[in-house]
Amino acid sequence: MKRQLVLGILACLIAGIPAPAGQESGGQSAPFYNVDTEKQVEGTIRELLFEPRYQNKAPFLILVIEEKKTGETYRAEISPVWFFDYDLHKGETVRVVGSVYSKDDNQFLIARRLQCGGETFFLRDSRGFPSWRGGQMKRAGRHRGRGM
Amino acid sequence: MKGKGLLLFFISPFLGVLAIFFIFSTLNRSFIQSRSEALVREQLTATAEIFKVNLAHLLDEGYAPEDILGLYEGEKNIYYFAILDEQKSILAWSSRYEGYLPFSLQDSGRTEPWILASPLGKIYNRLSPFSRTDGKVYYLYLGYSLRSLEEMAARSSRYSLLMLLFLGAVGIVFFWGVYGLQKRYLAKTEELEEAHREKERFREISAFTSAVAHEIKNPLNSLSLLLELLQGTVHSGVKDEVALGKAELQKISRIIDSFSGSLKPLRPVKETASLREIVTAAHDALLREASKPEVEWRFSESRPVFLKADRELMIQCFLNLLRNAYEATDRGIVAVEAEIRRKRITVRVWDTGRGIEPDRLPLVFDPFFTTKEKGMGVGLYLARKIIEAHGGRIGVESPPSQGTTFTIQLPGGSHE
Repeated sequence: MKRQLVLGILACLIAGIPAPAGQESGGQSAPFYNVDTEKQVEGTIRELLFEPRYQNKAPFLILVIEEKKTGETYRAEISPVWFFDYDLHKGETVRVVGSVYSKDDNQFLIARRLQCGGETFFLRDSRGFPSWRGGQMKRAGRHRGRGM
Repeated sequence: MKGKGLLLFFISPFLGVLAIFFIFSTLNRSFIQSRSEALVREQLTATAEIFKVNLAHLLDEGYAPEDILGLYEGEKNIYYFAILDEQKSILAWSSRYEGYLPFSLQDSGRTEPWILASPLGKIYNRLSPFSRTDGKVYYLYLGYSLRSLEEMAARSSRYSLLMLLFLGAVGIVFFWGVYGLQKRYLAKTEELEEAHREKERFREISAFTSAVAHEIKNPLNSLSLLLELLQGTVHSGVKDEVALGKAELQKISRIIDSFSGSLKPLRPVKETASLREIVTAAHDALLREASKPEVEWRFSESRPVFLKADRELMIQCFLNLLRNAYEATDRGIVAVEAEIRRKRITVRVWDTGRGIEPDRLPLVFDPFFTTKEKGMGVGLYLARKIIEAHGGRIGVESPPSQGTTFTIQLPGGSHE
């Protein structure tokens, strides 16, 4: 395996192959689920958007949330659209736990847990592993993304 | 060997073997697992070292960290990796899963690899420094999947369990077989012991009866001789009474002879004989004793049956059986049917007579058991004795209102 790896690296160096498809990569500004910046935001949904977030992946559901306490706006990345099958509406109150980061003076949130209408949706595990990529929730046969 | 013995001698060692297998298999698996983990650790270290050399080279060349993330292409076991600066801030990262890079400030102080649990299995994490030629320090953070290792361990556990189950099943089948054989052996031994006891008891009775018969017959002979003498000397008025007394004495003598004869062991002198001839001779002898015109006589055989037997004894046997059948049948059928299957003769002697009471059926072959007023209970006993002396078996059935059937099975049958 080591030999294969060395050959692979050499091939990459020679050919200058870019990052492979299906592999998410990011520079300094690329967001990842950072457990050190985890925060709970409670607020009202101002907008629902579908945006591509990761290379070669389905678009994500983005909620623009206005925080109750501070009035700050967060763009919360929920999950791929196909995974989240619960109807959310503008004006609804939600509570999101996730990793916060800033970009271009905007506040962003990668959601781990979403509470809405008496239901809880576990979107990632405590270290940020996405539920739609397998794991216990999916294996236990629970409703996709649906909370317990 | 019963219950406890069987447990001690068969089941306990088997359970011991299973336990040893289980312990050995568990130890072996944990050894393999620890060895595999060590190998993975070595591999990860080697992979990281190669990465670092190449990363340092590319950074020296002036590439930005985010431009060189594609280096680990094809390494499917690497879930994520990141390049960190001297302060352990992430400069660039790459992950197989959307936004998944489980690196926190708490991990920044680690110098030893650590394992992180994820829904897809354990991930082996390593944070190690490397430096550019100009001395600038970077860190490489790698997450290496232990999934294949876990799958291997799970497969190994599965195979061990399957092997254990297989051994268990084989053991159960084996010991079930052994237990069955043991049970059959015990039953057979018990049967033989019972037969032996019966034989012994019979030998004692026989010896006792012979002695009694001998003791009775001596004075009877003297008495018979005395009556013979008296018959010549007494006056004609009492001659008839003396003759009657002599006849009664002879009757007693015959009864004693019959008893003695039936108790003697049989030694058949075998010769090839026709079953039809034997049965016909017995039937003719019976008809000479008493004819029963209202009873229909039948004899049938699929093909002529020949057997190796003592002709006289077999005639005696069939005479007794047919006598029994005729005596039980006032009007109806008495029949003998014979057939051969695999050199084994089956003869059925049946009648449509009164039948035998179910509670008496098991006793009909016992010596001196009779339901007849004039019978001595020797006929069927003797018939069984003759059949057994020829290595055969005899049984009886008497369903209510359907007469009686005696079934004889004899070895050494042929059609010629």
